[in-house]
Amino acid sequence: MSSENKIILEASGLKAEINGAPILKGLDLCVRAGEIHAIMGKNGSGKSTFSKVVAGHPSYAVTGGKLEFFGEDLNELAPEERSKKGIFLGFQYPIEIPGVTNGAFLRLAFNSIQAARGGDELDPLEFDDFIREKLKLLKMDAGFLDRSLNEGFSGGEKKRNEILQMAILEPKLSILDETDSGLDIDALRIVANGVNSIHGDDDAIVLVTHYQRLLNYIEPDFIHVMEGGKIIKTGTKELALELESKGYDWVVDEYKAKAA
Amino acid sequence: MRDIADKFLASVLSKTDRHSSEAPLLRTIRDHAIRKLTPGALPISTDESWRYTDLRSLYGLNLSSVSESQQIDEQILQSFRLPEATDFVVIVDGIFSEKYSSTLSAKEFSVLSNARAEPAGMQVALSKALLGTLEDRFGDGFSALNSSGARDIIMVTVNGESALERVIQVLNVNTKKDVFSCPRILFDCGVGVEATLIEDSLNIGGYRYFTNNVVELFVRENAKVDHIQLQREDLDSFFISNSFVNIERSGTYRSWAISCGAKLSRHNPHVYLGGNGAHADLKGLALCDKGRVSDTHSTLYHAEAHTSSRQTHKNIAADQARVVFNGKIKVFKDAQGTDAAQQSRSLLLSNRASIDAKPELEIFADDVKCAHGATIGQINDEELFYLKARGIDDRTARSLLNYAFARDVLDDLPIKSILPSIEENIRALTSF
Repeated sequence: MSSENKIILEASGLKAEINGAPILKGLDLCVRAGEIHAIMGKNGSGKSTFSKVVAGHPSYAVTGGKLEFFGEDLNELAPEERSKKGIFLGFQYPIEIPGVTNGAFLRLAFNSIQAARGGDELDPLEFDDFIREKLKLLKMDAGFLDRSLNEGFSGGEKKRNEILQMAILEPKLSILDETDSGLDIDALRIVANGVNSIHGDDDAIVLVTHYQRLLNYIEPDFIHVMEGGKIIKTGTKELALELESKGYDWVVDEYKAKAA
Repeated sequence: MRDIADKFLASVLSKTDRHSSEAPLLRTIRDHAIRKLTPGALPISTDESWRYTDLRSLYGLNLSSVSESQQIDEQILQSFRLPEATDFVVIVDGIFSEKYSSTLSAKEFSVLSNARAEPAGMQVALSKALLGTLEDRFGDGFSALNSSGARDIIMVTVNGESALERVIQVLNVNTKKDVFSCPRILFDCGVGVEATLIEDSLNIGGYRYFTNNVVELFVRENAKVDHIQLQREDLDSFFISNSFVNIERSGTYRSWAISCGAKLSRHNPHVYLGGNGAHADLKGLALCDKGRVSDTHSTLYHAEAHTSSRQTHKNIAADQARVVFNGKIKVFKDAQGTDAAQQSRSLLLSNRASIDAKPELEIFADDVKCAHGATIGQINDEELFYLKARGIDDRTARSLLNYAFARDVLDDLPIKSILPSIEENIRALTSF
């Protein structure tokens, strides 16, 4: 990856807390167009918090540092504004909303983003044609559209539905929070193929994951290890294999030794 | 407060438009009701079933009745006619308007009135025998006041002779300030017949008035009635409605009571499951904002064995609104095998709104299934965030969630053309 590529997301010294409890304690990360990053780390290291902070979850307060998207400070922007600017969060646990049909939700989201970009909004018939193509990408059948949003979806169906949203919204930055958890190997392959086909030179992807398995299918340019609310080590994809076989403790020890 | 209630009662009774030529049956019904309307007949807040709803603002009004029907822009009226309606009955300020109605045949439809000779014929004789029976048995002061003051009583008998399945829309329009009107319907659905009754109450002109509505509905053996009550009055109006339903053996009654408007509204459905295998399915939706009060007190009477009922009541309260739901289920001693399930769910959109929800069960039989549940909650922040994270703005996301909340009441609504009006009312509820 060329360091000439445009910076999409830049976090430096980022601090954030929830209900007064600090979670992010000075996180640094720079994501450029065309790149795929993976953030790995133990439970409780702050990975999911980082995802939600970037998406603008109201429960988290940024208390220090910088968080910029294409050079613009994100801090004051509501989640819907961030989404309209091209930030996409693939949820670790997609929310079930009984009574809202998936198809109507997808069209509403699509049209909201289109309106923000000055693109054409689609009426239900036009959207139907459009979404059918995208469904094929994720091997989903049209029946998904008539069901309540995520209600009664299996784990794999929920994650595919997340990537379907990513496919129609065409974000500039996709943060996929544990998109691989709960997927069997076939679903993992489908989801990974979907992500790979959506990804291009103008956008970037941040994968948040516990496991190396996903990275066999979506090949990252950088691997970051997160611990105690910071990124403590960055490497290439070989680092993921090392983490898989040796665990995280050696990275933490190495970081502590360096800090001492 | 007792004083002003009695004063209000005396005033309304004195202004009731009576006529020397009133039909004899009308006279009998009125006189019977007036005998019941002694001081103390109208409720006040110390009465258990009115403790959450303060009627002082109603009792303070100086109301009159209308003796002549108003001219209304016909185009406006027609705009309220639902495309599904096979028959359209218009009541203006409590007076049946023949001019604007396109009604059923004389065999099926008749009006008892101040101004007309008493209708005759066999069907009419049957209707007349039924009239007032349910009101007299299950009613309260307000329904008695309707019996004493109803100027025109609409009597509909659907006997299944017509191949067409009847969808009868009764449009109840109010047009004048400080008027009280007493719309009254008797609906008799014959053995094995399927029919739909829609009561649609609204306001042209935005005035303050008081509608005191009563419907008596008879579901005969094996008959199936869908009953939709849409109350979309303006903010200044007062609306009280009593629905009395008798379901005979193997009859099915389904109702959707949608309350969108009025300054103060109160709905009392009384549903009597009076034959083996009778089934009732009651759905209610109260949408309430600003300083409105919306109160529903329903009673289901399981009087016979193997009767069943389902009830789903949803409330959404915004601003400083006040919503009350009291769902009573009575299971009589002989009603073995009763299967009743009630749930009420309420959504509070503001920390100044309030909701009182209360199930009330009285069970005298021993082989009975009676489930009930009540929940009160707020918009779920995680759901809201999920929608917003997909670019959907705050207002749209909230109204989507409001709609989703109300949806299972509306999903199987047989008259789809009223949905846009309800959706508009849901969208109008802001949540802060």
